[in-house]
Amino acid sequence: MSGFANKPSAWGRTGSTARLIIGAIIVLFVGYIGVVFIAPTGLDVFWPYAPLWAAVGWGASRLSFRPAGALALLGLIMDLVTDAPVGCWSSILLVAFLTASIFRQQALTDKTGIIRFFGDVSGFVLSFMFARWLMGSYLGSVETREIIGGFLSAALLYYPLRPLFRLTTDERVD
Amino acid sequence: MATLGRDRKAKRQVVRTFVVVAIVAALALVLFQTAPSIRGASQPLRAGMDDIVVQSASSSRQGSLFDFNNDEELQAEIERLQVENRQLAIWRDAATSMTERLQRYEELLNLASEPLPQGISARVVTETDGPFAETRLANAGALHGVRLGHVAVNTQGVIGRVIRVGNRSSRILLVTDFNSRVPVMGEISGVRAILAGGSGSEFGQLIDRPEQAPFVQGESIVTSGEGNAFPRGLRIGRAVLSGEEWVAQLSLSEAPVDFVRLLPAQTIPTPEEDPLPEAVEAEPETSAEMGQR
Repeated sequence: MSGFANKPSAWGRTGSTARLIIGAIIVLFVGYIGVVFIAPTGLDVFWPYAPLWAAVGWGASRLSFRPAGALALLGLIMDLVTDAPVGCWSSILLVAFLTASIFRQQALTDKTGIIRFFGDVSGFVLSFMFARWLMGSYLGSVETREIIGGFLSAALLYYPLRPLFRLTTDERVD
Repeated sequence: MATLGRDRKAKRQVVRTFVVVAIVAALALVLFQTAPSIRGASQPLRAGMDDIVVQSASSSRQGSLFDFNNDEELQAEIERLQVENRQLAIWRDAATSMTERLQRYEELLNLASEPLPQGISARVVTETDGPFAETRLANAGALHGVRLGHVAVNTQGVIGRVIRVGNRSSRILLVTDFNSRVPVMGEISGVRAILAGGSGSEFGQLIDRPEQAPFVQGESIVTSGEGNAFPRGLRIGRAVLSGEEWVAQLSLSEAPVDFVRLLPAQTIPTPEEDPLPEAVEAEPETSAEMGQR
């Protein structure tokens, strides 16, 4: 009975490649809804930058080539859709990815979850500051209110969605 | 175990270095794109992406999940449109009559008339407002005859111009965009200026005014046609005094942008660009000689 009770869920049995693909699909779907349905209403300033979920979630799970490549690709798509210079969103996502990954080792041994939380927050905050700097440098000036809505909503929605962007079955990551 | 741990650490180090190098490479790529010629290299890719977004937006709208209209609402809408149609028919007759009268006056005055621009109607399917560009995507492209530089107007007036054309889509740079510059003039005062975007969605700055004369409060601001980028006389907003500065209250902000007409920019060639044939040029000289005799 105990063996049955400990049987992992369907999500628990899902491998890292499938999780990577599912995460990317979620990001693309949220982006699609934002561009097609939300943008015409003018509420897109509050629509989350969904690739940040993937960047922070995948960074906190495992530092490897595949998620980094996937993030570069998602960033390229964002650049093309938002008319940003190619490489802009890729670098922002990779900064979030790298920042979140720095805290991973310490988070594995921390039972309180504070380090993990701090790592996630740092991922969002540093990527926002980097985005602000990069866009401001490129355009000459940029108003914070133009991008802060997307970053804030992405950060707030990340917590309920966090398990979907975990690439490992290691429970300690949560 | 120790070897395995070291291997993992070494692998993490390699990946971390790779990510840092990728960030630096992406930054270098962004830096290179400050040169317009390099940024232009990605235009076909962007036009292709615009096509994909427009196609998916158009197909999604047809069976939209967010369309809650019921039969009653549709019936009310049809009745409203029928009433509007009857009113418009009266205006159409008046316009036809006035056009005929205007043509007669122009013939009497021997006035060189301006050809009516032939445009393409399109629907704005989505928008991408952000720090980089305030643009709209319209569902007509090169296959429909849209070309780079076409002017986008709606019922309120000029909203922008086409900066990128895909096969089935075109991207319109709004007059509110930071990079937008439109030569304009006051319809009554005739004062000329450049309408610059980047001051929000409601107002545009009126800069580079060669004349010192003020605008007339509330007069229409229309395109002046200078630079041949926009045809002359298209309404773009109203002159409003804000503190001590004249600004244009944009017609773009008066109503949501839905259907637009994409008009070709009317280029009037200079005499040097479009000289007369030699035989015709000789005629005035001959008549001048005859006058001397």
